[in-house]
Amino acid sequence: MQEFFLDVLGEVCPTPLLKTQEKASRLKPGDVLVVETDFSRTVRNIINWSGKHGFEYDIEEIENGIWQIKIRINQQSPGG
Amino acid sequence: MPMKNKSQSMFFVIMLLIALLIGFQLARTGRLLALNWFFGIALGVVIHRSRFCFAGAFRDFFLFRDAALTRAMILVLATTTLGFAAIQFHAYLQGAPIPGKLYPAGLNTAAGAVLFGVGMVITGGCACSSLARLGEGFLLYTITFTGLLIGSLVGVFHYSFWKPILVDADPIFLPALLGWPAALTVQFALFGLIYYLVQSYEQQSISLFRRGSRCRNSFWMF
Amino acid sequence: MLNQMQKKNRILGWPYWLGALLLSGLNIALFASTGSPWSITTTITYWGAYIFQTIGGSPESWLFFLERPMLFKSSPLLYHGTWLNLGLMYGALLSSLFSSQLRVRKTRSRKMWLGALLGGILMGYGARLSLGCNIGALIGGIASMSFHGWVFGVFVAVGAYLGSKIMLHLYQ
Repeated sequence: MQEFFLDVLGEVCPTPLLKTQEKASRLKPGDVLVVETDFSRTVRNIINWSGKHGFEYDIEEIENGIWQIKIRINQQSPGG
Repeated sequence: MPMKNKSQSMFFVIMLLIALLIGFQLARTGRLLALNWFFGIALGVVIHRSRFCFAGAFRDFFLFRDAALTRAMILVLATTTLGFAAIQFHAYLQGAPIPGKLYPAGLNTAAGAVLFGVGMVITGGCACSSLARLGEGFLLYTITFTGLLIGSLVGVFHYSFWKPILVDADPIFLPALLGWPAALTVQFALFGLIYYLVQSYEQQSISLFRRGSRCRNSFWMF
Repeated sequence: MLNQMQKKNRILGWPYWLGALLLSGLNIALFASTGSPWSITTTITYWGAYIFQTIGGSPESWLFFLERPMLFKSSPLLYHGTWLNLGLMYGALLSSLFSSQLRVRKTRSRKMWLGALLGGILMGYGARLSLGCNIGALIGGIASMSFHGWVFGVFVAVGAYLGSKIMLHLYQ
């Protein structure tokens, strides 16, 4: 069970989710992916995506306008 | 995780006061200007608060099978149609010219729309969300904005070339063509159809995800 | 528990359907009270023309502006659309401040600037060709029950599809 970090600060839609998708496809069930982004829209994007795949997630605002989304991979994720 | 958040409430209050000041100053020049200012602020607040993006309505659907914004866009279209139709019908009853965005449809519309579609996905936002992101502090959209200025200018420069060929027709106002009840019915039927198609495709893909199927590519074809 | 919910709401924002209803309502109210629906790129076109004029160009001799002679008689600050667009940016700013989410966000890579510039130019040119952007033509046009709105809608989807494909290629 490992924790991985994905920094997509400064990236604009759709790049954060594309990168998240790609990274998630290489993780094993039980791993946690922490995505750090400053793009407000993409937080919703990533959460919708997580929900669809049945991943658990949690969001934290760590600084003004920077969010961290913790996603726990529950199953093998489809590739990106 | 320690929060490095600084409250920006004081800045908010200051900026709010400035907004009101500007508004009242504008009201002295003309009611129209002040109205637009306050409506603009309201629109900006809503776009930011609800994380709206029309570019996303298309892009997220094509790339991620995410139809949340698409459905929201259809809702916008449906409700706005109702409101606009009321305003237009009111004018029609009074024999006044029909107000609204009525332009001729032609090759230029199609070509322009394609260019716009490509552009909005590449830059990461449509016209309205680009402005809103600018307000949020995204420096990238200053470049987008510059591009918009340049593109519009060149487009207007070329107007004299393509106007005679493409635009010299009358706008097609659907109620004039089909009658008001039929036009509204057709519009709403189309809204419903698109909603249904989009929704069912998203549902389909969700069940695929849940079963953990391996998809070759995140990009799919309708 | 309530704190969790509040935190989630603050971070996630309002649901899309609420935004949709509000945007729609505001557009309708704007239309009803000012006689013209929400439009963005027409204003940007005027801004561009004014700037061009300032740096020495003469756009007022172009056909588009010859058809609208009143435009260059007064400053852009007296044009109502200017304040609509400025208000939009300001509103987003205010809203960000309210949630203490305002932040100057720098771009990650120079490559993105190119995409943004190109994208902006395409949007600007495309909006002029179709006499409206997604707000003016897609929402405004379809809501006004004008056929051009639907044409725009269909083809903007085509464009977005192509653009998405391009994004994928660039990304991979």
